[in-house]
Amino acid sequence: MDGFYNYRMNFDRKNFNNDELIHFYRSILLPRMIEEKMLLLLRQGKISKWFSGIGQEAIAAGAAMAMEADEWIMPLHRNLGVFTTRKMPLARLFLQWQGSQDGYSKGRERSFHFGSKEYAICGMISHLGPQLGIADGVGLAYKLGKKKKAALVFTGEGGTSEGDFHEALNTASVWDLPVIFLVENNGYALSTPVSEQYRCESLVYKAEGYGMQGVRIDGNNILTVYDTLRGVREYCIKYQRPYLVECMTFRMRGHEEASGLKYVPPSLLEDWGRKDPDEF
Amino acid sequence: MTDERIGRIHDEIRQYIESELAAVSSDTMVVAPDTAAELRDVYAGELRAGEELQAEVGEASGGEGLGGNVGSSDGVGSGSQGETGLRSETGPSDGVGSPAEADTSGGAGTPAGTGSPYERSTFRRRPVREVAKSIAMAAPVPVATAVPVPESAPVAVSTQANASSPVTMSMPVAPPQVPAGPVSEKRLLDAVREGLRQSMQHHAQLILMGQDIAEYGGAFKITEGFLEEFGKERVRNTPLCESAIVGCTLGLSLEGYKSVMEMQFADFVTSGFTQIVNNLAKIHYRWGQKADTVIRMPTGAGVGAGPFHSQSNEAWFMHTPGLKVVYPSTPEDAKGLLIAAINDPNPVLYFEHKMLYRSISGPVPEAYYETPIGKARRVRAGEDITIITYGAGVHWAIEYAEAHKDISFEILDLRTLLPLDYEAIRAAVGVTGKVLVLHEDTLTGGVGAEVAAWIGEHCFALLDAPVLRCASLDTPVPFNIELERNFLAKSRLDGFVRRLTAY
Repeated sequence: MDGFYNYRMNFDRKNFNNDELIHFYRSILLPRMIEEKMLLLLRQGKISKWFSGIGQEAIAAGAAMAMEADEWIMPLHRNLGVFTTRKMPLARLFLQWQGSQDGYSKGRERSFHFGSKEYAICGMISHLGPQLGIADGVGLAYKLGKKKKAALVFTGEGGTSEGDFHEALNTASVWDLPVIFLVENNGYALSTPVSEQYRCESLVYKAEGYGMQGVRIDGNNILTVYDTLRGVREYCIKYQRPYLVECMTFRMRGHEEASGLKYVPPSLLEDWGRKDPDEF
Repeated sequence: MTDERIGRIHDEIRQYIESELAAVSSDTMVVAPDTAAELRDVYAGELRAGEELQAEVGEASGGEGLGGNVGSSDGVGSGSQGETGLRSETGPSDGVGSPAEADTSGGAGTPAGTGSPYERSTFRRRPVREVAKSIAMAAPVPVATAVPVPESAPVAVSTQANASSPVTMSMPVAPPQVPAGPVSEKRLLDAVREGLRQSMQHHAQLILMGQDIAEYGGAFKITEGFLEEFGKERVRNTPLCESAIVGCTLGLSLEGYKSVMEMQFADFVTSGFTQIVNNLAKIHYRWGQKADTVIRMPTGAGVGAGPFHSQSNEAWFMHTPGLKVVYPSTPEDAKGLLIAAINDPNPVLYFEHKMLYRSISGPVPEAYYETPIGKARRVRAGEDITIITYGAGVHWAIEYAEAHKDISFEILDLRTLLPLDYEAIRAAVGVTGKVLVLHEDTLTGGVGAEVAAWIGEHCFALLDAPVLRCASLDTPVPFNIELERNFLAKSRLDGFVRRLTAY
């Protein structure tokens, strides 16, 4: 058994036992295999388009696993792993993607643009940045209620350019809110590369500007993501402070299927393909 | 772990996915369209769902009027937005729906059974008494039983739907029904403060947020003394982050809190615009989550404060389905509407006119009471010209009427701009047949445009003259006090009245 992890990747198993490791593997494999099925269904015209998280599953799944089930998560559009980790029934998710009356939004919203109070998931907004401020409000509610909980909100490297990123991090810091700001740095905002998005060496440097701590991690290693987020969550609750996590990853498919990947240098896809988070 | 074991895990997951897909039965699963035409069917399915929704709304509200508020119009009446799921939100709602279509020919001010425009001469000059009778019949019933009581204390309801004096002067109509108990004279500013303070006492889970609202007491001193009474956790100074703070109101709502955010000036709301029109307004429609918050909007011109501290921007929000927009003109309504807005689980934009804060006083019940959202107020009854207005316009209209006793004015204070009280508008139109819509906001695309269009569409047979709009100039609000006077609609009111009387 041990040989497998060393053979597939030079893996630090971080004191997890085999059953736990298999649980991680299942958690990351499920969203990948669902999306592979969705790709087929899309080509058959059975579901509407969505925004693929293929190649980024370790972040959504690992981060969601690090949170308690009743702690609010504010995901974005590539975070199927959040929905599967929260164990939302897959059949109803398919109905959602079909725009069915029986989907989570009764046909009123597309793909992952919905939430569910039952699963403590607050649906995304296409403007991206405004998700961050909602997390502040949840963090404030936890703080006022003296609950030992933290809020987790996702954004991308593109979202960090929005004014909402600044406002939300600033407010969370000034008000000492237990909020985890997670940046999925996946290289492109639709076709805009990071070189046209920001000029700091690492987005995590922005944390210091808001007087909060942050860390940059390998977003394609689910154990790293989980381990980091678990620790960050404890920090946020114990010290009643926000925290910024920059997860380095790559978007392996188009912004959505129809727009393709022509603007991405093939070498980048090759490099990141070798770091596929699902290849243990 | 062997490759064989990995293969087994893959197989298990694949079987799970296929079994879940099988549960999505073939009759709900859209049948494999491989062509563009069939693909369109997928979206047609979505459209059909939307059409059904519209039909439900039409049925529930008895016709036109509520269509624009799908998804968030059920606040007063059900009080359970967010808990009831997506379908129930379109159910029998808050009693503010307009009359059924048939009412166009049989409602207030129109003889039953008519409806053809050719018959208009038969009722264009109906005796005022007859009209007044029909209005009385159409008058809204008290809604005390329908008001949601979030905690346990009883909520008194001010049902002064038929008339009351906002400030002064003798009124030819009945006095307002105000809650029992003492009434005291208050400025509009003090009434807002009292409504807010009583709401804070009533709702332990109500949080106030805004720039300089704590120690400083707010730019207009509305929250003076609140920090001492309610503590810094519930009375929160904010950084200059309008968008994040509106976002906070939504986050608090996810966890069951209520909140009131004070925009320091209504002009600054643009910095939180997306959060309001895209998050607060749409979230319940999208996935059934309530946005239980009130945004206070100190608004309006008249004090020489220039383009960024004087704007009227209520029309932006009136155009946004999912929001409620209230705009009191009297101290009594200011208190009652604020309490109602806070009790309402929907997002409410609460406009308070800065110029009226200290210039307008009136009787205010000391009890904790609601003024119902979605109900206009008949300020005075008249026979010659109807002025439909709100906010500062109410006081301009009263002042003008007092100075021109030779003309008999029917004045309607809309009080709520979204949803509009179409029943009251129709009744007010029917009384005189000559309608002027008056407001401080600029003309093009303003509230008056919507009201005038609705009257033209639904009350044509009641009209004896074109519906006129008296609004401010289509420019930014100028600083110089003389320029500002010229900008404001009030400076042109006389001309519009003269035009109407000529018909």
